[in-house]
Amino acid sequence: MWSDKELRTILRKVEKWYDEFTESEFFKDLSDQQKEYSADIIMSVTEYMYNYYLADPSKWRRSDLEDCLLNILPAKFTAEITFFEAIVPVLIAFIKFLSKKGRIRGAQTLITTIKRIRREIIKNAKNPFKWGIAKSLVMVGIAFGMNILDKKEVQKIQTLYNILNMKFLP
Amino acid sequence: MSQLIKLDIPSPYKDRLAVALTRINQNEKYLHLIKDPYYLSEALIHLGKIDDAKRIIELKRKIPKHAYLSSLIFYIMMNQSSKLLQLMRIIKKHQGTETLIEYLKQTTVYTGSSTALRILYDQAKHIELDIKSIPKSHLKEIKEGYLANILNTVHLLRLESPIKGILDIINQTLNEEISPPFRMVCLSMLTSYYSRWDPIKMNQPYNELIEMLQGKPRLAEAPFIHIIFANLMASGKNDEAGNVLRRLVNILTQGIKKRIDKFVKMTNILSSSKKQKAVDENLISSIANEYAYLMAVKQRIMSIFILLLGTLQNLVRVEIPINLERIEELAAAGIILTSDIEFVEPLFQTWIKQGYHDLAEEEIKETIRRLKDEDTLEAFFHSLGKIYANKQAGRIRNTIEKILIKRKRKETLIKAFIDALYTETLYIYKITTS
Repeated sequence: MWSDKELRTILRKVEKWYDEFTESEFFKDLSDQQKEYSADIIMSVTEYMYNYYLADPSKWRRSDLEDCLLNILPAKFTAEITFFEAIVPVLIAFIKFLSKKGRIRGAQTLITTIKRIRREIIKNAKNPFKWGIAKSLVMVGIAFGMNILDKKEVQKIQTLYNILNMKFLP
Repeated sequence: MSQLIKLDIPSPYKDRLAVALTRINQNEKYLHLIKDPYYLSEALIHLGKIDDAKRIIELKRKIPKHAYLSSLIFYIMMNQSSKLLQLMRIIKKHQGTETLIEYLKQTTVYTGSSTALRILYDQAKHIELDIKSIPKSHLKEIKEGYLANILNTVHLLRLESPIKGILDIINQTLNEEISPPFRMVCLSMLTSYYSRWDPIKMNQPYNELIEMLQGKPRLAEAPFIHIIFANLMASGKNDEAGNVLRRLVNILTQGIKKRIDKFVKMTNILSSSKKQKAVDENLISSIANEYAYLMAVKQRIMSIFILLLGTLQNLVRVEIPINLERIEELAAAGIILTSDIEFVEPLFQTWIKQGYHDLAEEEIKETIRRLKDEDTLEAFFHSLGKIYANKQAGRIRNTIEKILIKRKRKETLIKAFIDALYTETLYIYKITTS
């Protein structure tokens, strides 16, 4: 059963792991941009893996991770395409790190899977037909140069969407 | 050999297809399929065989309607101005000034002729738009928008090999009495021109443009902003291009939320159970008025998005380096906001240009599966014609060919494809000028 407490415990644990990871040789091999995205990638994948599959990193299953990376993350997570390009190298480095520390099993299977779907992840992230409604509207905001952290700016995009789709009709 | 020649279609379409394939392949392989002498001359002109083309059609007297464009191209290439003017009069009489201008625009982009450009400019500038219900002040704005769009299309699609005289026309326009938005358009065109051909001169028009863009956003700017955006993109000024689009959203949404809230509030009162028995007639009339207002706003915004679509289509056509991701984002935004099928074309084009042929291929097949409505399907086949013409289309062409030669494929869809392919190849496979 999903629980908020369990999620917070997992996130705290992974945050600590992430701090250790940044000191490791696996992290050092990443490019500057991959390093910049690494925290967001690891924490968001961890969160989605628990929210959708109730799994913490030590129990990640190949099929769940594949589904998460192919269908959940590209549909829900709003970011530039370079973020999605960084997912595979960052996750592989992180899984190798966890494996070396003995915190994860079946690391090689996960790595093989992730490598195989690398291009598919990027393709799904580029494809607006695969995005959820929330991501779609934020992406519209980004496309029109709006500040998506400003509520008023987001509201303008919402208004544009509503008027073009007459969504306010009862 | 393209699989498309297997298509069982009426002769003029087969001819147009063969002309388009000749342009794409730059060889004589498809010439034998062309029956019509005017289309054959068009294909020969493309291959540089001007004398052969001349021999074929010089003795022809009455030009049939389907050959107006071919003949315009021929007369421009042959510098036969008296015959050209005569033909222009005929086209105007039979198909109207707007069609003539459309043909002239295509001819100008394709041939890069300065004569064609000058004629096009004069025709577009002095067009008498047949819109009676619009006040004179708005008519001026519409005419400026029309001219701006035509000039910009020719300018952008010829930016890598500019037409002699384009700068004179832009500067001449700047010296005339024009509205501030049209002035911004001209300044943006100068900016993109100089960014490519004389960077030292770029700052002057660019700085004036940026200064004008500091002013309060006005509704009258909306139909021009997509052009300013396109030229800033073509100049590599991506951040400023983003600011311009933000300005557009601010203009388009100004005051609308309040009107939507008012409308929703009134409809809620109407639908509430307490009031239902005694419906206030004033309320119904207010709701109807508010609804009509919002519908008009929707139409106005939609028309701006159609203009933006045209710009995105031009931006994916240009051969100068351009930020494809920004175009991709906007095409996706167009799909999300308007659900207009035509926005998929620039989206797929950007995928192809970025090397994501597999993604484009999957979504083309998926779109065909998904679309049921005949008109939308026809619009999509029109888009497929444009995609097929993309110089980097590669394996996508095989995918499109398989879709087209499928048994029982409706002739209207194939015709839509060929019409688009024929026109698009004029824009993509231009005759190079020095």
